[in-house]
Amino acid sequence: MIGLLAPAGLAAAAALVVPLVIHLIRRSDRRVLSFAAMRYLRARSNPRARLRLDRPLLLALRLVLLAGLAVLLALPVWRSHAAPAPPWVVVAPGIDALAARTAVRAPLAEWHRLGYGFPALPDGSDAATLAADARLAADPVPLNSLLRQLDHELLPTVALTIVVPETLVGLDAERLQLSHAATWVPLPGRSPAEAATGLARAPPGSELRIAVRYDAAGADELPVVRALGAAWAADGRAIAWDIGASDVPLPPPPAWVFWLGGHVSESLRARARAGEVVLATRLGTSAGEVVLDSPEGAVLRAQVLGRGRLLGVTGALRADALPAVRAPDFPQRLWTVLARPASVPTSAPARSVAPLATTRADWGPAEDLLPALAAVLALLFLLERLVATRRRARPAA
Amino acid sequence: MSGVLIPADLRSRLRGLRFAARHPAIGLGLGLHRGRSRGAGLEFEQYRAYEPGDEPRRVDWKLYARSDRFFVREAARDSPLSVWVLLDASASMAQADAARPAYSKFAAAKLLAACLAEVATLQGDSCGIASLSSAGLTLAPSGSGARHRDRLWLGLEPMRTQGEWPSEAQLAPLWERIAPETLVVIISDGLDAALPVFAARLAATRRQVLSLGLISCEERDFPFEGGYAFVDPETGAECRSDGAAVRAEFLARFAAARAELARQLAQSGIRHVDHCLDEAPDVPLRQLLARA
Repeated sequence: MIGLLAPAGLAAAAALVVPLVIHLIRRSDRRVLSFAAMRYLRARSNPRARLRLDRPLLLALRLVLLAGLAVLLALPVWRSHAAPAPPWVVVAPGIDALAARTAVRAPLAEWHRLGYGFPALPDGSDAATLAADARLAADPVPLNSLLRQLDHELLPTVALTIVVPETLVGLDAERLQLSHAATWVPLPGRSPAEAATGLARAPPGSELRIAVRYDAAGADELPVVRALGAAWAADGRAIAWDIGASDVPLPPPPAWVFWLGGHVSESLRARARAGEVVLATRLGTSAGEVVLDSPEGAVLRAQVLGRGRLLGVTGALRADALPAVRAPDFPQRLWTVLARPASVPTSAPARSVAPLATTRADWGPAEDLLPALAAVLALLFLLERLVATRRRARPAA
Repeated sequence: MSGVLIPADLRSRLRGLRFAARHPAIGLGLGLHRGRSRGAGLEFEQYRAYEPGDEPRRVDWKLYARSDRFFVREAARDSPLSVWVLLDASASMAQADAARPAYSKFAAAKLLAACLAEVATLQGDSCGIASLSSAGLTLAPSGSGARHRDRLWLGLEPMRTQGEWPSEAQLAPLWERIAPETLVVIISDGLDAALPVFAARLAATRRQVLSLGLISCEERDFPFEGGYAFVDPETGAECRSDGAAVRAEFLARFAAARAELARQLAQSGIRHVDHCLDEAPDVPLRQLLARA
């Protein structure tokens, strides 16, 4: 079947109006003739109103020629229907092959790993394929990118079954869209991209530094900060604390800053703007998005500054001023907020990012029709010239 | 002269043509037609009783011996004929076919008039040519001889079509020029209603009238397709029409009009011949001058 790569080129078909108008004008052009025997003539019902086309063969040729040119501009291709092919099951690295085979019942399918080159899914017997599979899992490529490539390369009639971990990491901003009929099967397993992206701000194995600066009023808030530190330490997080008065210089980045010193200076804002985590108390304003709340009200607000955020507590960070700090999960929640990068989220539950179906094209590889059409049009043009310049049998009168 | 020069082949075909006078000719001198003047001559006409004053040598003495009375032998003299060619010079005579724009009806009329002058000169008749139009008459005087024929041909050249068919008052000088017993050939397109009336009056006053009607090929075939604004060259009236749609009706009405014209002329004893512009010019002359 003929497909068009640039259907907008068909707009050139509007030029079909031109020959029509030309042939109509030539017809309505009334000739004046001196005719002595006019008295035997009778005027006949306004022949001007009748739309008649001059030289219909020539007009038809010109119309076909113009329509062909419009199709030429639309870049026609010939596509044959794709032959039926066995379905594919692709399994994301990090998901156990056996678990995938038990979860998906597809006896005739081809099984592949969702990795670079789409290698066959190991069935557990060959040590070499198992090793290759392990390498694949250790060096992951974003799943969305792989799926788009697969969608583009596979024959259109192939049915896809995609086995992915329940939490997908390393997503990009665009929702996945597949032209193939795809079944989305989330299974428990580690997302292969988790290790790669991880938490950029707290690389595992290195110590996180937190600088705490307080003034006279901020000294009252130190117990809460210390309690937070104790809670985080209990969770196994390695933190190097640097607690000092507000006039003690801040350590160079990267380091989180808890500013209990009241007014936030411009240098501190610049630090936040550069992407560092800055938590300030007693801000006094209620500006910014609420990132942590409690039944009593907003606890933490975030003002976007440059690449980073200034996280602020409106009041004082004291148990009596902010009852929410007494909640047992408060340290954990605060850590989540602080550790979350300021960029867009890249992970999501797999069920919520199931691929959307786009218009399905049942076409196989395309064949360019441009040269053939151009040759036909050239022939048509010659024919048109021949007809247009042919000596007319009867005089133009 | 170029417009009215007779082609050589046409001129040779003209040699067989003869004017046939229905009335006895009254011209002076010797001609080819049976004349009305009698007297001494070769061809016996009649006997009449002697009257005082007759020459004694004209008395038939043998008859006197038989009858004892004086009879005078009279012979008829063949006389030359006087021919007038009247050209319709109204604007409608400028009609020409698109296929042959230079050969208008009036050009054809001039050629036919030149041919008639040639025929008249060949048989020694006198000939005159007049073009009739409401813009004025152009009269070439009647006369005979080769030099007069050349003068007539020269006089045809400046004639132009203009205006309409002339009124009765404008035609008055013709009646003075064209004597009774004259052969009058009217060459026109036959589209003016006054023409048959005028021809009938000529015929009624003892002029022998022949009529040549000119038809263009477009009037005969009506080959027009599509929209046209047909303009009457004389009145300027305009008729918007579609060629193919009115063809059959026009052809029928035109043929009826020609038949009606021929009938009117035949009623007055006038022989009428129609001539299409694509025919050879000697064909209608042959029909017109054929002996009845």
